[in-house]
Amino acid sequence: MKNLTILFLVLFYNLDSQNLDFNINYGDELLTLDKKYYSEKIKDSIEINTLKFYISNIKYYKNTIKTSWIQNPIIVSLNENKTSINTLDEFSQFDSIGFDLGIDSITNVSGDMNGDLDPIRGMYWTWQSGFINFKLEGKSKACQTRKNIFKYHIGGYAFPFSAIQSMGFKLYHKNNVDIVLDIKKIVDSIDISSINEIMSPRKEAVDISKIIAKSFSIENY
Amino acid sequence: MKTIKFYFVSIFILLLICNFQIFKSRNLQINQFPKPNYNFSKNPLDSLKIELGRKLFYDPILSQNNSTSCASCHSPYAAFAHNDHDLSHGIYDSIGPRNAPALFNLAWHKFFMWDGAINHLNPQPLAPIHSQTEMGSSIKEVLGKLRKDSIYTFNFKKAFGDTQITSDRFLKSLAQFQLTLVSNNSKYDSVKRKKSEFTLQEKNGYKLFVKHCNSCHTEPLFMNHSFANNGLPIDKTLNDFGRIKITQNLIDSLKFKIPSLRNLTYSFPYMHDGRFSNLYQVLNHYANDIKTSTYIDNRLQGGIQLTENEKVDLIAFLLTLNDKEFMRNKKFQFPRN
Repeated sequence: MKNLTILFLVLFYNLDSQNLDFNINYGDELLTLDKKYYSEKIKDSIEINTLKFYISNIKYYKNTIKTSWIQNPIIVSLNENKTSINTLDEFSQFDSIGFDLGIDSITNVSGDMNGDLDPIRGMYWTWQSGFINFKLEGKSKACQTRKNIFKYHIGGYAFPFSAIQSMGFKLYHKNNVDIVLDIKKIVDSIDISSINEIMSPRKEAVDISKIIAKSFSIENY
Repeated sequence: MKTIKFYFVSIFILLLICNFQIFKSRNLQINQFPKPNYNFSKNPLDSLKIELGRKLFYDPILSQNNSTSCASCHSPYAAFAHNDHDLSHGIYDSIGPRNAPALFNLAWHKFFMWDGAINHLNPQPLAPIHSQTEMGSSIKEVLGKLRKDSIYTFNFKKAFGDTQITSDRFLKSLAQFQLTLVSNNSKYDSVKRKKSEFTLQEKNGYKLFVKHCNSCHTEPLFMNHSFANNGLPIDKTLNDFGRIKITQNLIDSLKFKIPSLRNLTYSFPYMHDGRFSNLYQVLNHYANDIKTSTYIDNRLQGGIQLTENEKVDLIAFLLTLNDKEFMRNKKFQFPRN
């Protein structure tokens, strides 16, 4: 019995899971949905109502060799309060982490709709095949649209409008890893008065996907 | 000992043959056809899933007000097209922008819809379900209704082992039924199998077909997985520029998917907007109405030279692509049990 307990302990120790946490910020503070923020750039208020995105191909490296890999795409959603990814890995063992923001072209043409790829999650275009990699919706008086709404549904997998972005960060042999996404950086980098409705793969979507990728950073402590 | 060994070897060989047979039917290998494009390893054909897909295909529960099924615009008596309507109509009699294409040999398609907007048969039904002029619903709403239906929960359990009704299972079942819609028993097919012979007129029509049409409508599927501008002038009431909507590439302006020529008698009218109601109009377009223009497909520059007699012969050949067996197949019809 004692042996069995030890065995269980060892097993659980080895399976010790760790969360990869996403901190969604607006500038220096955590972003609250539907809250009005003042933007110096547009000199008016701005609020975010929807934030959802796909993280896929999470890879860990040790001495530049890929040692662990989670392939299944996972939705990070502030609306569903789902901002942690269970990774089953001890970060402290690894030197760096990489992941993709979005869904790769192979998955996009596979017809696979299991798990977080379920179209019921609202991250799939129905009139034109393709997953929405990143969904950001909000309101600002700077947008001369119906109800001042802006909608960025960023996706596209086919040349020349592929909007998937790969990212990599160094790890410093510490235990906690938070990935930070600063929404202020994104909205400040887009001219939201002129570009405020993107709902299909196109050049503007690719440009915004690059802006989004640059708005990610890491906190490793 | 030797006999036991012999028995084992024979049983092994028998099992191998059986396995091969199952493998064959699960993958839709058709002798005269190339290898299917659909990846059957991720959704192997299974009679219970096919039956479930058939029930779903014919069920108006897929539309917002339970009025419109897939079969409303893809009717079995029209080779699963919407005949006698230039533009197809869906929920609340709303008129859509295009003519619903015929459905058969879908395992061999690489793109779906006239502009190739859809890249796989599995997610294809999401488009009409969500379209306001077709079914006006959503996948969420449809799954909600199916989950409340005791017959469907029973059927999903039979097909998948438990009562869970998910998007993936729903879409895979619908794909399975549609994949079984194989049309390969026309007169043309039996001539190719040396079971029948063309008449003199059909033979002449076939020669003209190979010379003028086969590069786009390629045998034996009579399509070539690509898109072309076939010289149709734009319909100003629709302003449908086709494939460019998807690729945003100027060279794709006014290009539409090249459809298969099988079962033409049943699937009229023709073209993406159903502008031609009979085959003479189609051939007159190709023979007389195509201007020379940089935008029109190279193979059609200046039109196709055909005499009146040649047009008649060509149509005689095209009619050999009608597949009566496909049209009569009870397994494809409305499920009555």
